Amino acid sequence: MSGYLRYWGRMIGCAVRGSALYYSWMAGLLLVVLVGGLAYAQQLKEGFIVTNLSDQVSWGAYIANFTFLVGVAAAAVLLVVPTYLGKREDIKEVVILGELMAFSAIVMCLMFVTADLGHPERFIHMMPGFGRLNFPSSILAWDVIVLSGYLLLNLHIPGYLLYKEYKGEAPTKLYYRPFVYISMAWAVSIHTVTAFLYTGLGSRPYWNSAILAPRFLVSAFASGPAILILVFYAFNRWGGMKIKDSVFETLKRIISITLPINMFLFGCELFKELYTDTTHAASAEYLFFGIHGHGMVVPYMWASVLFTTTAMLVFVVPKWRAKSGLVRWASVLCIVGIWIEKGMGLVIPGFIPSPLGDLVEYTPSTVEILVSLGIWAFGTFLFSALAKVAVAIQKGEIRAQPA
Amino acid sequence: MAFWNRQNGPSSDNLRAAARAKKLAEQKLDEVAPRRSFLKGLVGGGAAVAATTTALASRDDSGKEASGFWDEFFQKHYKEMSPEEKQRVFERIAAQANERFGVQVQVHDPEPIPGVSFAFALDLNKCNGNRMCVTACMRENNQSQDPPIQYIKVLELDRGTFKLEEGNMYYEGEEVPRKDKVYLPVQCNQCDNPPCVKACPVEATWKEKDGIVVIDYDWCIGCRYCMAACPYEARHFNFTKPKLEGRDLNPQQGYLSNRVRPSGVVEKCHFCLHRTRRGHYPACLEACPTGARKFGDLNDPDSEISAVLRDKRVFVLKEELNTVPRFFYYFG
Amino acid sequence: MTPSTSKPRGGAYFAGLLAFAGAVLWTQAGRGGPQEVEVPPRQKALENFPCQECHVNIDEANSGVAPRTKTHSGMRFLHMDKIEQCNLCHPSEDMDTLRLVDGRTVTFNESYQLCGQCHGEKLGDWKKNLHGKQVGSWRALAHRYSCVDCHEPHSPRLPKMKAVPPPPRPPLSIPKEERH
Repeated sequence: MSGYLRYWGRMIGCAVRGSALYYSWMAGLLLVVLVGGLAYAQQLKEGFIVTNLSDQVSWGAYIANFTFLVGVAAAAVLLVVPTYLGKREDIKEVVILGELMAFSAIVMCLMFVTADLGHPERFIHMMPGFGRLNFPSSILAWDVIVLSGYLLLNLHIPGYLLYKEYKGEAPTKLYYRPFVYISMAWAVSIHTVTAFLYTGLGSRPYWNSAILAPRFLVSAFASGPAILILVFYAFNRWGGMKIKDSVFETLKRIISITLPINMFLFGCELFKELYTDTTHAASAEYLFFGIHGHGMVVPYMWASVLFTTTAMLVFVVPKWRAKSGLVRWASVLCIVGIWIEKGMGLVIPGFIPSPLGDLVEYTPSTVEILVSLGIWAFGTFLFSALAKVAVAIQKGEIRAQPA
Repeated sequence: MAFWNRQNGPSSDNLRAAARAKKLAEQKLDEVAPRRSFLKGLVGGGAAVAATTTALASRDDSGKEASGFWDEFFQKHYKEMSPEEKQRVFERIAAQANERFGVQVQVHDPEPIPGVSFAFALDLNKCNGNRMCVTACMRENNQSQDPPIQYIKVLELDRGTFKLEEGNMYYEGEEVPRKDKVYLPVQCNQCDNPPCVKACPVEATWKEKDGIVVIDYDWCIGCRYCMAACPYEARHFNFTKPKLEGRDLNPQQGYLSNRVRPSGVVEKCHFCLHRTRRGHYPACLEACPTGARKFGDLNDPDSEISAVLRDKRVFVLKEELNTVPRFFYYFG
Repeated sequence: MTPSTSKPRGGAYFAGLLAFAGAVLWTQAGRGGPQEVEVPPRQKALENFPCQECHVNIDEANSGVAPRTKTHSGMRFLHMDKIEQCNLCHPSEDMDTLRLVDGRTVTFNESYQLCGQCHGEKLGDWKKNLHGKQVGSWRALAHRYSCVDCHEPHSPRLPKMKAVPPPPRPPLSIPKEERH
């Protein structure tokens, strides 16, 4: 027991000590968290009146970010599968980072959902025993279950492996392999369930589409690797790691497949809406062209199209894909493009027009932006600390007995 | 004098006889209500029936707000509370309202009348878009005045189309009905296959035996998934603490209906269950000066609602979504 | 000629009572349910009732034209092709009653019977509460407005009304174009 406590002590010690760069990075993030926390306090005190949400557009920035981050969490499976099914030794070196990123992303998801609750203290109404979770009827109940499950899986697997590494022992396969295989299917399920959250609503024709879940998965498998490329690059540059080029190659190849598929599926959706031209096409029309000369999301959406198209070209053309600087920029474009597509581009037009034809636009308020930034900063802070400790353990800097 | 000379609805003294009769009817009802519950109470052997609570203003407990938080925090789901627990909750709510508004408030919980199945019908040939139902509803149900929460949305449509997407709920009407316009009031359809109930992650909203979909405002977590799920825009969110004046407060309050709502929860039309379960008509129906609204018990073949369904061609909104509404429209 | 001619007040009152009882009875009989429906007596609401108080002294010859006295000022005739034959419905021999086309007379409390002669479908709907308005209780005692509670009998089209102001638009609302 005391040994286990010392393990935690050493991990925390590792997380709070670091270079000046590490300190300023973490301090900057904490500052943003603090500002976000203050904004959230205001929202708690005054209610959702401080947001730009309305009865017509009842979900906004929080749920948009939530949706995107579920995708980021699910994308960890792209490292897990080649590691455990493809026996890729190079990826095995970074798989724990991927799992920790998934863990951080889920924490952010839960924070975004909590921020979106009118009564966050009533989360206990979902807890077994006291609460009444509306399972299996409510897809939101499903989402709570799959997200909690994924959180635990991504806590257990890297936690167990790192502890064994710390002890200098070989991990017992039975204790983690079954969970690894479960987590592969589970990763797909979290994003499918999140898509079903939207798909299952007959009242919102723009969301009520069968290809939403595939689109979610494919876009997650494009934006997730793009984030990993940037994260791994940062580790190579500042984290004292040497992640192999072959890992980057694999990620790039994945994006070169998923990004075009994503654009294809999105195109299919748009064709169905705009060519058929039923009244239900109004959402898609609003998204790309605006209604009655109003279109707050229109510039976002065209930017998204421009970004993802550019990124796709870079990842698909072999000559461009080889240039690592260009790939990093393309990764940024890919992330931002998909973040818009799944956020402003999916959540908001689902509400415009409203089921009774009311036209109310939405753009996040200052409070919403600050709270969202705060949560992103907290997630990044969490991941930075976790990754620093994990890297230290893997490099043998923290060991039960010095080797 | 006459109703047709007045601008402001049927409660003018031209209808002295009408008003008298109505008052009489209500008096008789009030005599009937407690007797019924007493009988029911006897039958139910102490089951919680129409629990009526009068909050006695107690000025000495200043820590009520704080203790109220923890009481609410550990308050059980409506369906899991014992009659005594419910009683305590009703007392607390009444006391809170009393403290905030200085009004003696009664919190009741009328239960569904056995064998009764409520439905609504609206005659679109009669509705002229005057919105008196909207104000009556707000007053009856203690809705927030600012930002205003309105359960009824009256859509103005162009003659010749029934495209809801083209509807306009913000029309100004110095003189309604306006030329070449038709009006379509929309409120909660109390669906028999309610997408909102399916969506709620914590069972804070459910369908009662008489067909009314209710919300436990003390259980709702405010996720607003039900609002996204509702095809009729019937659900409204309290974006802040409802703003109300004590003098406007309706002191006759139902736990599942018109009691003052907390901030951050969803609310909607509940067919005025605190009235209708005691035999009264809903407030919107009583306020409608055109007689467009019809309400009653579907299980009673002689009720007006059964007559509407039998004798008129009725339709429901967005039938293709299979929500099975209890709110019908017809052209009378 | 009804007995009420000789005793206008008492007779009308009696007839009113009868009408009320009748109204209750037919609803009871027609429905068989526990709901009672009252149609409020009309006579009490009439300002100048009993009419005979003045009309016994008014020259019969004038009864066929529109009244121009102060008592009946402001009346507009926008019904049945602007008919001005008062005594079609108001028999000059007993202005306290209403005359049906078959010669029978009814009191003002049963004026719906007069209306129902032409508007039979509406009367049928009204009897089932499919037309008109009823307040009070949906299962115990309800009060049903009579035709004339809403429709001025001489110009029955409902006037236009002023609508309650609309809800405020949400701050980010897009105004719709007015289509004409």
